[in-house]
Amino acid sequence: MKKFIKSLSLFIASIPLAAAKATAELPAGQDAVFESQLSDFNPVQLRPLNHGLDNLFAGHRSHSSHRSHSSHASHASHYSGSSGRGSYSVPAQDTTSSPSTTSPSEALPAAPSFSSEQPNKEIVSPRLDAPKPPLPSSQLTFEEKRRLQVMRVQIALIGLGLYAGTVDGEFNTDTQEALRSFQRLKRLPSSGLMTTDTLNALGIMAVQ
Amino acid sequence: MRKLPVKTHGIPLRGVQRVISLALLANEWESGLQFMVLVDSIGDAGILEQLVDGGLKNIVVCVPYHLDWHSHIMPTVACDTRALELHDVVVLNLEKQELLVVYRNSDMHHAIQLTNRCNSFCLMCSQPPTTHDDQWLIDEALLVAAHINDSPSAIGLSGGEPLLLGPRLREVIDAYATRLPSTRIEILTNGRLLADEVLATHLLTGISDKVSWLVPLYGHADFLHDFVVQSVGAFEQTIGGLLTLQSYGQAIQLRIVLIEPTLRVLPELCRFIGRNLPFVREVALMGCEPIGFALANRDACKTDLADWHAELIEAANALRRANVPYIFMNTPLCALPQSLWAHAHQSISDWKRSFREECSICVVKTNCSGLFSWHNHNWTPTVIKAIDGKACNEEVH
Repeated sequence: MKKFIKSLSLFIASIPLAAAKATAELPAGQDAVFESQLSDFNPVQLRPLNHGLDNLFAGHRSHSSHRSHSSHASHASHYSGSSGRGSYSVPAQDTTSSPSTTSPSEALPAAPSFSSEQPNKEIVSPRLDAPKPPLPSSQLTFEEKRRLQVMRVQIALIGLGLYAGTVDGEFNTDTQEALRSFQRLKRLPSSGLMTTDTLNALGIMAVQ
Repeated sequence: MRKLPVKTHGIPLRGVQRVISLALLANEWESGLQFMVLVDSIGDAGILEQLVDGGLKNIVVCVPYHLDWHSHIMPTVACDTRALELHDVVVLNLEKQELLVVYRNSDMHHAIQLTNRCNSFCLMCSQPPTTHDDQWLIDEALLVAAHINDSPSAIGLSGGEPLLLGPRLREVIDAYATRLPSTRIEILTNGRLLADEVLATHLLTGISDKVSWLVPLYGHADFLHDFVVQSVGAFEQTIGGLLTLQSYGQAIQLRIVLIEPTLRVLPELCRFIGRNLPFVREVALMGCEPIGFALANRDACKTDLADWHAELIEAANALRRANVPYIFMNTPLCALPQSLWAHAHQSISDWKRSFREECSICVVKTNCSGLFSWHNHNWTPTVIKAIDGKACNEEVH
């Protein structure tokens, strides 16, 4: 009996849901149906690696031209220059968290320290310069994304033997020249810019 | 954990690396990660050298032994590269000149070890705890989360006892929840420290809904449970921890390892769970791994599950009546009564799973958990025998 009541109440609860679903599908029309069919397929097969709107830096010409934009941009204070967030250090977190690692109620038995030279009282990671995990790229600033995008293009161009300079994220003339030669090889407009078509030909996902 | 001997050159520190190919590097490179690039030709190694020369500091080259590659500027790892897969996350241990594969996308089971320390000393512990301060494992686990290039369906955070990380456990959980948004996070813990309200509040308030807790319970009275975990007061704390988890609406899997002291009270323990802990998501009844402390406590841990079928069935019935789902793990099908086969899971991690010769003709092998590969050196959960189609049918009728 209990089970019956449960399933009955489930059925009653689902009525408005089903109704809402039916009405939602009507006005959307055929396009929505088609799109939902599309999403069943592997999307990678059906679309280019990057669409135009994915590519934030298609028109980006050089570092200096960007700087003139960023001077009035609201995120100018985030500007981190060439050092970027290179070390990804998370300040203060270490100093606050290491003493409180043991829970207040249950103190651990005094642990012998990891390496023999270290004093017992202070807990020190053996890798003092252990790299901190980086932020996911979606959390980078616009400037950091641009640098990452340029560096990936530089890596790809070195792999193709078209670029021999430094991998520094500066959109310098050498990089632009290398892009032009790549574009000529691929019969793309040789703009020397990181256009969406160029990224797709290089097989590089746009940094977002 | 898979280990691989390596020869390293020019690598200064133990570190976490993502295994990658040269073709993928341009797409995945980030400044905060470390990349170990698999190459099998001098030409490709030369391109990498050029990248290092051009300023990339976070790549090392990984070459097969037979490749005659020497470089002054290029950090190099030589190993049997066929044993590696793309997007493996590996830790290089320079002192031992070995490489640990800590995460592999293609594995069915993923586990990250957060500490070697533990506050219990279970009779059958497969991984006897150490007392060293190993907080570096926490930093490493955070790095591993960043190096994983995938979101697997589930990942286990294991130990030792993860709650000994204290508040930093939350840091680790949050890192995995953010990095691997579609991944269930399973925390293997004895739950004892969750009886501490301050820590519990810190850990559980606003925690990701992807988290579930895998907590062992070995008896329905304190002296039973405390004996198995060899720690006085553990039962009270674990029950307290379970109730805390329930008050925060957390998903709980109770785990019972099938060794003699638990098998003896198993039906009663399952009735206790049905009456007092009916909120648990499921109960896992697990075969014992014959390794670690289990070898030292052979008398208690070496059991033939065939001798305990009556208890297993009674326990399963008790759980079913209480509407608590249950599964059998690490138990080959020939060790279980056939009525319980439907509840047996293929639970043994890929790298430590093996079968015996007898199994080759078994008709239910494809559904079987198999054996821990170290069963070959020790004992098996029962006398392993192939199930043939005829025996199968006879038992049904």
